[in-house]
Amino acid sequence: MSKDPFDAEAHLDHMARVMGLAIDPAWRAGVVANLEVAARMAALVLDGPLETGDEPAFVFEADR
Amino acid sequence: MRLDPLDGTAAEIAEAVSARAVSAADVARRALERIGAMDETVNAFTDVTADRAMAEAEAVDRRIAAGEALPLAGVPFAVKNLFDLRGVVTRAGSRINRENGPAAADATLVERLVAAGAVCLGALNMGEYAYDFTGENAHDGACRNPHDTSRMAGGSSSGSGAALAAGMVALTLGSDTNGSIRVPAAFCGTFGLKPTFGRLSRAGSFPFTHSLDHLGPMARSVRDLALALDVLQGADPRDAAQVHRQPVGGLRALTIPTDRLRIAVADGWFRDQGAPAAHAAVDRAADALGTTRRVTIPEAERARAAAFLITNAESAALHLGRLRSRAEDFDPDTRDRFLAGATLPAAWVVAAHRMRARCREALKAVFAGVDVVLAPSTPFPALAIGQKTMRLDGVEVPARPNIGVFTQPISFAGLPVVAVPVRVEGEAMPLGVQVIAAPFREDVALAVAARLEAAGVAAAPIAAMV
Repeated sequence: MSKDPFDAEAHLDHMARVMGLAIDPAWRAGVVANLEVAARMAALVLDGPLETGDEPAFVFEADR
Repeated sequence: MRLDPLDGTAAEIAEAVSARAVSAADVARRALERIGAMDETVNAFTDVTADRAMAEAEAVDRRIAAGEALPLAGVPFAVKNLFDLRGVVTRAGSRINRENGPAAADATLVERLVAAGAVCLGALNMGEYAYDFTGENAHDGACRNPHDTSRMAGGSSSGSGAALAAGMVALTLGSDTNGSIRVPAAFCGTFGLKPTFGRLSRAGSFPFTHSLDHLGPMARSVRDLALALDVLQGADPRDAAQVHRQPVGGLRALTIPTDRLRIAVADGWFRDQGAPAAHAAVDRAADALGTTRRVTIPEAERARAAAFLITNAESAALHLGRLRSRAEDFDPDTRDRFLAGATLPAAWVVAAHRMRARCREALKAVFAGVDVVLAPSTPFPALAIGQKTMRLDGVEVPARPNIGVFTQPISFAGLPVVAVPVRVEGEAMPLGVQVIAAPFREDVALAVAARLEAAGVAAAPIAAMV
């Protein structure tokens, strides 16, 4: 993750098609900027102290 | 009580109405008049429920006359417009939701306030779909800060802070996913309570990020928050995320001795950035509490990053259909981030949820050593409406993404916080201090906040608008 620079433009082009999103050219720079921030945030989390035993903190109770 | 009963706190109004010194109907009329006179400037309200307010107020007067005891008798309140109000469209700050029909019933927390004698004046402005820290809104217009109407009210519960600061109501409800109660409380100089995650029912509110959404009260005194907390608690099978816990004593918290509590100021992430005034507010609170202790909240930066990812992905997934079919109808300030969020890799988001469990464990260790942590609510006071950047430590930085840097790690961990308004010398606007307690210890946070209020350090006077 941290080794390869995240290509927000290419990611957006691909994922917008996958997700059925039409990105108006006027919005594109803003979306790309947000993706770049998200990628920085993800790098922080993924390069952090997580270990195999760390469970996600989802909320689910089987008897509710 | 001051000359105009509407200037009182919720507790003072309830006491006066209960003693029949003033009628609930008179208070409601005054509130409607004040909203009519001031809201063109402040823009806190999106829906004023005048008929409902008068009917509820008259019902309260009848119940009081019949000898009923009502803890919030005649207290005028309003709610962020993501709470369902019977007969009102729950717009959640959006244009799109206005095409929905009106809500058939009140949200659970609204029902509870009304049952306790409070009187609903309407629904309040907010950032679109709660994805906002500024209080600006492309559809309803910016909510203005009553202390300086050229400045932001803070968001996303913008109207909930501004309506209180302007004295239009005595109690509001807001929601807080990453700071949306604590930010407007700081900018508008009010008190706010973000309870522990899962403490209060979210039934009948429009969601933002299910994993992180909290609802809570805002007010102009700690006692009012405590009163509201006592009324708002209770199990609700309509909320799948609510936890099974005994209610905590709100008013009872105000009698808890605080002199033996271990109180510390958060350092590191919470100290190494931000304007001097933000830290001066924390120092003023720490001085009043007689503490010089410091504590480090581990992994705060990663906690904030993880909160960002969960918020971005979950909220975009919630709105995916609308993003596909009508993205042009979103507020430009939220649209870009929703569209980006709809494309995030799953591994990023799952890692963020795993980080949350790790943060919970780290904070257990912190709260084994202290009872309360103090931190700034925001890194600076209210910005100018429309302001995009600001100078911090001599560097020009984007303003908006930084508004929530101190609130996000705390709500990520689900900790209860009483946000208290503090003034500092040389700064024209109020600042906020987070009084943070261990999970489900809202009582401890309220007790410390009450001490700060009693010491004159925390105060939420109505803004002197001219």
